[in-house]
Amino acid sequence: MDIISGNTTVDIASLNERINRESAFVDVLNLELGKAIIGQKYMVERLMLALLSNGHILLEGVPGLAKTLAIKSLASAIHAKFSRIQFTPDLLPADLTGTMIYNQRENNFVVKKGPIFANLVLADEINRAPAKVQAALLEAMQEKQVTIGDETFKLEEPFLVLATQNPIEQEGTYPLPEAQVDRFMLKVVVTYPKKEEERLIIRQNLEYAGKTINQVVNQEEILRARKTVRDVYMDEKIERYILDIVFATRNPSEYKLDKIKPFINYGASPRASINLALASKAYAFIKRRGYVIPEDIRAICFDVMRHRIGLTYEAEAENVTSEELISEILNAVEVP
Amino acid sequence: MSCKTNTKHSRVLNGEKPSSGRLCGYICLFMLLFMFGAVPVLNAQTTVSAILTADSNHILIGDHLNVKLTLKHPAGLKIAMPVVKDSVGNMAFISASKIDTVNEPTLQTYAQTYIISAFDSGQFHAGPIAVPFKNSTGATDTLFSNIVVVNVNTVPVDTMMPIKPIKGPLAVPYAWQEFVLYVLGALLLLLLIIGGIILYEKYTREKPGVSNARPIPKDPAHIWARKELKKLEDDKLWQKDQAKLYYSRLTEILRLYLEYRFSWLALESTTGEIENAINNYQMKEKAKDNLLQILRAADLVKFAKLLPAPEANIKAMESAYKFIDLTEPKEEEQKKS
Repeated sequence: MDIISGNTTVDIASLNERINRESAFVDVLNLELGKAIIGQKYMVERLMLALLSNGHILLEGVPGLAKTLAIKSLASAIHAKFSRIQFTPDLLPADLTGTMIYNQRENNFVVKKGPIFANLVLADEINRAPAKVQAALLEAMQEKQVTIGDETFKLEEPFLVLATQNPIEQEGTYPLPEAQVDRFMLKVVVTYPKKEEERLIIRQNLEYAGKTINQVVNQEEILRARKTVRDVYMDEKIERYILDIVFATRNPSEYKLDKIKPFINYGASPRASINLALASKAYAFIKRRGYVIPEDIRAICFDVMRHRIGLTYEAEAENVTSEELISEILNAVEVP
Repeated sequence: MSCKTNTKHSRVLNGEKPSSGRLCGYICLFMLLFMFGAVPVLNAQTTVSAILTADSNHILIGDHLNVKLTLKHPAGLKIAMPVVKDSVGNMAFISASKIDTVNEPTLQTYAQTYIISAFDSGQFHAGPIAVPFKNSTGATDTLFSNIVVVNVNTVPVDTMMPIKPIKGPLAVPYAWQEFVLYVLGALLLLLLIIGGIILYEKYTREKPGVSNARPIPKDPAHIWARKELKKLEDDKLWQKDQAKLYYSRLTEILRLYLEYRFSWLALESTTGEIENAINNYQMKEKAKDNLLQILRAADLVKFAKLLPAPEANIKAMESAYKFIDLTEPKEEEQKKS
């Protein structure tokens, strides 16, 4: 006899059904994106997580890892407006948000909207632009609206910013301040494809005609899925688990983690808790589950937390990374 | 050989009347004295003498020879012992002793011994050594010592004897003073290394009791687990509609059992991680199935509001006991532990 026999309370059962129904597009979307992007499944999954949980992604990786292609393909697959902004040191906030232009014929000022007015925005090499431009983008990301002149414009939903950073070149860059980085829901580290994957990439690029990405989901479906994601059940025990993880970054001693205390300058902010909860719900949704389990937290924990833990000089001197600290925390906090 | 510095010869100047034969003898003697010893006499006028004497007139090649310069002069006369640098005559100068001074009321005597040598065979001479001084008129004058002739001989070679190889350097006996610095240096290095290790240990070692230390039960893991399961049964939680608490405690007991029995950090691992871990561990399939069924069911109860049927709760407890029965250590293992 199977142990798993019994009844879940009605809401979870119906939620499971709803999620099964509404998350059906995830597989289709994955298949469609797979036509253009070989490998990088982790990055694509995180893109979907951000899209479903209404967050933004900071991608870190060397050039040529299909970051632009991924977001462009996603925009095509969901039939969303896509724009790419190459951040440079001479970029101005108005180049991003838009400005008022004088119309001689009409004798008035008209609004010229900037490239931020899109559904999916790729902010390439975000750390190349000065702080005022970064601030303009991050404000738009947070408020989901832009003010040009006297007028405030709501940004169209879904709105997802995918910013990239090159971890190698640091000369002539303006590193994002901690407060700004915190606004990104996920910081994903993109790695090189595997050998076999790269072979397929070569073959695909040598083909005469490139693969076209068809629309497989509409924006309404995405927006509906976002609502469903918020309905995914999260037990009190999971909430406590999230809080334990976040609090362990602030007070390691309370979790018998004295050894990592000298390496942490400041712990994760409440945004970390919110985003852990939200991203884990989205992860459960992608896995077609109506409830969150500890595995979901662990799966997204590194991407949510890595940019939210401030490292000390000792950590930098001893090459201790935030990922190592998160591992220590996950190995010390009891799973519910 | 010596140079006499007495200008007044006793017999000649005492007014004795010598016979003609004797007179001739005195004249000859005077002539001889004039030839060999009168230089210092004439130079000095005031009884200044520089006499060079040697220990021997025959040395072997390379042997050391002591020659002594004795300088006598009346008190009040300004005179200094010569400074010998490289050679004495045509012999090599090696070293000089301290100057020996004898002060008398009217006469002062200085004496110094030089060690000299020669590195070739033949006839060599030590001296004359020049001694500058100021005479009674205040003018600078120079007094020369006598010459010592030295014959330097080589070591006789017996050509009848077979040729032998050159002897190696002589072994010098070790003295502890030579090694003191090395020993102290080595000790200092050792102390520095030990100090470095202590400091490294102090700053890098993990603080005690950090790594998930939990009190280990006195009983063996399987006995402890059975006792805990019995307590859980007795509490009759699911009968009181506390299924969530029942499964939470059940999985906690099993996770702690895994930790005590197999040294896994099971309490900090998710169901998926435990599944991966037991798949890499030699365990009976039945035991694995029992454990995973309980953990999966518990996840649903704990996180998905599953209300399990009473039979399922009983079955979970049975499976837990079975898992412990299947994984408890065998007698040999128990004896070893």
